[in-house]
Amino acid sequence: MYMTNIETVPGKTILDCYGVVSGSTVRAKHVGRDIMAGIKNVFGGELRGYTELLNESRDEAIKRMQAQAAELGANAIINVRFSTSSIAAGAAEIYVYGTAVRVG
Amino acid sequence: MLPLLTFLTLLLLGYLSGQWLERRHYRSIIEREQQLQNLPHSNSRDLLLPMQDITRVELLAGSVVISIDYFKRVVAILRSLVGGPVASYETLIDRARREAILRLKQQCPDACQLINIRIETSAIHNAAGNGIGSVELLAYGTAIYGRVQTATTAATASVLAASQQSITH
Amino acid sequence: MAYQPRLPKTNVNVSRQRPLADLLLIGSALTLLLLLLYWLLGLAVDKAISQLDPKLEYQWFGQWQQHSASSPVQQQLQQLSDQLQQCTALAYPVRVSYLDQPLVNAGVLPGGSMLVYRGLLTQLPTENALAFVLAHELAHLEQRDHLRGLGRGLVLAVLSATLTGNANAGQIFLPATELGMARHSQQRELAADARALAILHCHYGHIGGAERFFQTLAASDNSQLPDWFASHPALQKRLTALQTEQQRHGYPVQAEQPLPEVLQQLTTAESIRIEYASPDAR
Repeated sequence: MYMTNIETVPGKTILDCYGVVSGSTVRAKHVGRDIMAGIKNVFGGELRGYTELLNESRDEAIKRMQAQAAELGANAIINVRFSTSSIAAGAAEIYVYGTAVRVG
Repeated sequence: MLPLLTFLTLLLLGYLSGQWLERRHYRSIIEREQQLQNLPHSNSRDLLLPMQDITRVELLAGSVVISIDYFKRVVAILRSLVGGPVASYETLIDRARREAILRLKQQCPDACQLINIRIETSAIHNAAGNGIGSVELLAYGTAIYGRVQTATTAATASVLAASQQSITH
Repeated sequence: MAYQPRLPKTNVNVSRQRPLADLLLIGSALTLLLLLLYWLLGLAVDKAISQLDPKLEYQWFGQWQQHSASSPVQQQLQQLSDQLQQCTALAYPVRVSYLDQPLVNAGVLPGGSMLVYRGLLTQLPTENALAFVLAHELAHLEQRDHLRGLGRGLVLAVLSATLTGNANAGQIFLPATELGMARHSQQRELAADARALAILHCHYGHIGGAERFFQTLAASDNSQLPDWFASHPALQKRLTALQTEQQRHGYPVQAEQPLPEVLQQLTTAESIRIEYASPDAR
């Protein structure tokens, strides 16, 4: 499945469009990561635990979006956009959306 | 004993009402999605379908604010201790996003296409300060009204263009 | 390109939905874990307290001592308390404060301050019964129960705040904390009852009158609720425990001594007050 964040898939023509598809996950971190983050908040530096967590969530969201697009019969998703928001203490929501198209 | 009973009562109330409202909402969403599925929409900035002529262009937005119930919050807190996907919030966000997009579409049923759809989420904290009270989803896009260029009109246009060339030549 | 209206049949954006199972599983696992942690930390608190020198405790908390006005009633109570204290291991002076309120209770504060309410005095017909209540409170002080409660409360608050990062989320762990604290508190109450019996026996040579207070309370108490979350055990449980304790040590039961003059006046004044308030209460 092709994915781009521009309006076309370069080198291919868009044959059909199936509308907007999206994938989202809400993931919570566990206490261990929380405590490490608390400690890091004192010293500074990259929060590797959180980065991993959010990367995993993003991959999961992309997979879901691709699954939805495939169900509609698409083989590419254009104009992909990402968004992260914190919607609960300790949980982050990642969603990714784009337009499902069939290219040939 | 009393705080415990209060807690359990709120939990039960939250669970029952939350589940019922959610199911009802999903039924409504699926029904409206069926009705509005014929409106061409995308999140590209290009026109989805070439237009013969454009009569009106309008920026529209659809939004919804959905509240979190007690049961969802408790489950989320427990989840945040052990980690993993928070299923109770996923349904919340999913409902809210689909509702926002539906509200956007409902405002332009006669449009030829709805392009550059963007979606924004924000969490609204409650006054007590302990956690999120509700989630707001905003979906906005540009609706194009006019006449879509169909195959025949496209052919006519190209023929006209070709004939024009031969005259001026 | 053409637009094809399609709708997905499945909803990929929600994980498998089993919120109740989630709640029960995680909830019960966490509750058990918390109870375990609470118990362990309780042991640590107890250890720390046994290291704490009583003299130091008196120095720190002694400033909180309540000083009620000296009255004949207060002097009488102080005298009885001092006599009973001879039979305990308490090294510092315990100041008794008499509070003229209809509350049927008595309590102790860290630092050796005992509070006795008027309501309690009117429920106790003999000196021995009063002595049992005072001895119970002295036993609490002797065993440092007040510090244990304080320590455990602190530990619990810090624990739930750290784990959840949200001070108000301590509500979630309410079942565990209430259960833990109630069990501990009830254990300490029964221990104080047993120690009070020993003090009574030491001072009077017998334990007549010890059960009188509970019997009086039981007569007017119609509560059928279980005592799982209460800070004190059920009255029946306490009575049974007293009887077991008596049999175990072979304490004798003899005639009780009447209340001192000054305190008897209180009882009469109270019954007059009640009679006056509701003439048809007979």
